[in-house]
Amino acid sequence: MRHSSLHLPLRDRSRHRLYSKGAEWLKWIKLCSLLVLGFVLLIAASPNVTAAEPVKDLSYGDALFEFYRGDYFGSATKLLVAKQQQTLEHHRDDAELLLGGLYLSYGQQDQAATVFEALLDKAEPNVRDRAWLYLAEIAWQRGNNVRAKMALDGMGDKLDDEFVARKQLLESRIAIDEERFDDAITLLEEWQGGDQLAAYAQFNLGVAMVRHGNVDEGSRQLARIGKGKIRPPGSSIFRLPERWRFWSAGSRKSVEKHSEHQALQDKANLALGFAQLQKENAAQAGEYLRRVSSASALNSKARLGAGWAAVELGNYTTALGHWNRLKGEDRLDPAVQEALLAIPFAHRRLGKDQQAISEYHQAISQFESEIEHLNSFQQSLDHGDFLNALLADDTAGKVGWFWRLKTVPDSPQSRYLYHLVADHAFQEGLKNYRDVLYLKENLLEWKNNLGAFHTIVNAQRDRYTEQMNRQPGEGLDGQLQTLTARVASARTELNRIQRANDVVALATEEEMTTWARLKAVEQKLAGLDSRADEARRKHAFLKGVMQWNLSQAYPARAWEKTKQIRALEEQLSLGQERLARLDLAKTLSPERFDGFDRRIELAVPRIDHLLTQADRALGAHQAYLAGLAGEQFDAHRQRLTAYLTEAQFALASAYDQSALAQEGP
Amino acid sequence: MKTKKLSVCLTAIGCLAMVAHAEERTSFTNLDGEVQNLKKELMSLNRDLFILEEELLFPANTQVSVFVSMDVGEYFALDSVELKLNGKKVSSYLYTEREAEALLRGGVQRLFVGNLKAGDHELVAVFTGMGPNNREYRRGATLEFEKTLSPKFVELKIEDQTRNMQPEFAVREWD
Repeated sequence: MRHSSLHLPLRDRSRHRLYSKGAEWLKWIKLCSLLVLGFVLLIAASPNVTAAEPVKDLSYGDALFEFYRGDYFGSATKLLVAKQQQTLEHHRDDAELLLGGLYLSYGQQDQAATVFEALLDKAEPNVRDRAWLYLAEIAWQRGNNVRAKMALDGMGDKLDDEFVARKQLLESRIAIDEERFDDAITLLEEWQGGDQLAAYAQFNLGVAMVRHGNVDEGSRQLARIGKGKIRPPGSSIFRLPERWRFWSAGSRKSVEKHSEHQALQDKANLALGFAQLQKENAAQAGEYLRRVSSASALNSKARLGAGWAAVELGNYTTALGHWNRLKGEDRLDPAVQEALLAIPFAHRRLGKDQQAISEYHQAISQFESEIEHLNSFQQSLDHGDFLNALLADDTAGKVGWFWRLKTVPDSPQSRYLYHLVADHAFQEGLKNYRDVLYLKENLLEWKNNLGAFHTIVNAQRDRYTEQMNRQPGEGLDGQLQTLTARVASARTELNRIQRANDVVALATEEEMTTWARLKAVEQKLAGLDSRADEARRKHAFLKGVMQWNLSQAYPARAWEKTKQIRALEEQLSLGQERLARLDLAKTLSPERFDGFDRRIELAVPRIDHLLTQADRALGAHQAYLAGLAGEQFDAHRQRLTAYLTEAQFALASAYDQSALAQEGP
Repeated sequence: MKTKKLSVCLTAIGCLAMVAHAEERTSFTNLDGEVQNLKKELMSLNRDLFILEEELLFPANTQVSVFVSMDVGEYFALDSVELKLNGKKVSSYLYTEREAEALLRGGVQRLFVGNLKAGDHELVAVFTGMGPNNREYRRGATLEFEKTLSPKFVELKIEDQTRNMQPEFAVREWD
């Protein structure tokens, strides 16, 4: 009697922690739903440009390149520059849309909303629809479902399939939030979208069904995801998502996307496993829990649950198999801590009391040691150093809303840091802290550059002064005037030749000499009598031949002459332009240098002001994050202390039981 | 009795945690608002300084910019592009997978910006990459162009040639 009364509470409390009233598995489902948000917003921020749709403004393409390579800050800066310089002739609306998406990705939701709202009045229908969709996403993300629905209503009727899918997915999420599960289920059952979102749509359908009370069908939907069988809910065909197929084929690109889906699959299996445990369907629970990937962060919870499922089936050896695998894992993980208690429990059930006592001792020792380490780490928690250590291996160097710290530095404190970075509030704060650090670096870089800018302006000014002292351009005006007159004269002469068809005027020097000799002979022949007729015939023949040759060559020569004069006129024009620029430079350059100086001077206080603000924000975030860390460590300590107490009680009970057994009946 | 006490205790802890959470959220909202304003001001400053830097370092009358874009099937993986201006190497860029994909998706990279005096110049570009069946490609293009007193923009587009189904450079001068 005492035996069971001492152990059942332990088991019951464990169950309470893990899956009592379904709270835990619903929590997992809600967490998974958050994935859908992040994914949709990431898509929302993507511009609708592909290689098949060529970019017509280089500056827009330049911003797109930065966007696609993940430098959102650089992309936004380039778009703002292009807007300022008015180089977005063809992609004005696209650029605005991208900028709005970048603001969104950059955590600046107010600015994003302003951009999208501005687009509504003037943009093409397809751009307008996208703007409405983004506005709806923003509103929903902020928990303003009324505004989100109004924005969705603003979308037109002629939407392409992708937009219909996104719209319906958001509508279903709103319906789930508002607990209109019938509406959500209807929307999701009819949902027809691409592979990218199909897993999420199906997951949401499972969630909506479960929360609506249709646990069996909801579980079936989740189970399909758990098995990796994804289909758009409205489709009759199961299919492996496109990105999974790529992954299966060995594409490196899709590994990340695969991980995303694998995580969803693991969470579905874990949630289903706990649900089945709650329904006391241990065999089914074990099946789901065993499907959780061994590489998953949820693996420890799955192992623990699988152990309890085995216990339900009376198979304590199998349970020990699952739990023993957790023994060497992170002792801050509640699942691992519980396993340390569950192992001796199973040993006692198997009648191995001495083994159980030994395991309890080990558990107590580990809990005490962990509490000691935790105290020691918390005492040494230096606000700035602790955050800097956390970001030591962060080499991404960019800001962004979608950033998450995925790895922590390899140090004795890493175990604690892992738990911190898994916390959403901590990640959000850390993201801001990191963003401000990056902004500060950017500001310091500009501050440094401004000094160099001063040097450059001064160097240019000195060079200018030196050149001005040499009096450049002096006399050039007169030379250009003379040249202009000569070119104009040549043009007049050419016009005369062309009007008169004066083929001789374009003859070569040699031809001119010959032509002059023929003329001279002609004059001499004019004074002779009829005895010179034969000579006249020869002269006329030669003159005719010469004229024929000159006429034949004339068009090419006239064209060549025209080209030469045109080239001269162009050179002249360039010279005049240069002279005009030189004159302008003489007037404007001092003003230009002064303008640069003024702009640099104005930037200095702006940078200093922002640096002060950045330092203040860093300090505030350090305090905030250290507070969160402290709270989390407190929670760890409280839980460890509770487990320690539980282990001590259980140990006492085991000794008691052992003593009774030795005494005999 | 013991269990009841424990549950009361847990409820109390739960309530405290909820209050603490609400305060934490308010505090984070304020911090987040400050950071948003900071980002907004910095973006504006960045834009102004970017323009200042460009006007100062690359005045319009001497500025030359070379852009790279791609319009090829997705089975061509760009490795590198090398640029020579008047026989002098001015850029040699190795692409990451993500950058090559950015080009494939319609991005246009400003690979080089510099200064050239007015007159005739020669640009030589060479790209290397990997096609289907691990076939290596190395292609080049030469452009002789005149630099006037306006900024010069040159786009090097790597595109499929239907004639031989292989990637080639197409050079385009922008006004």
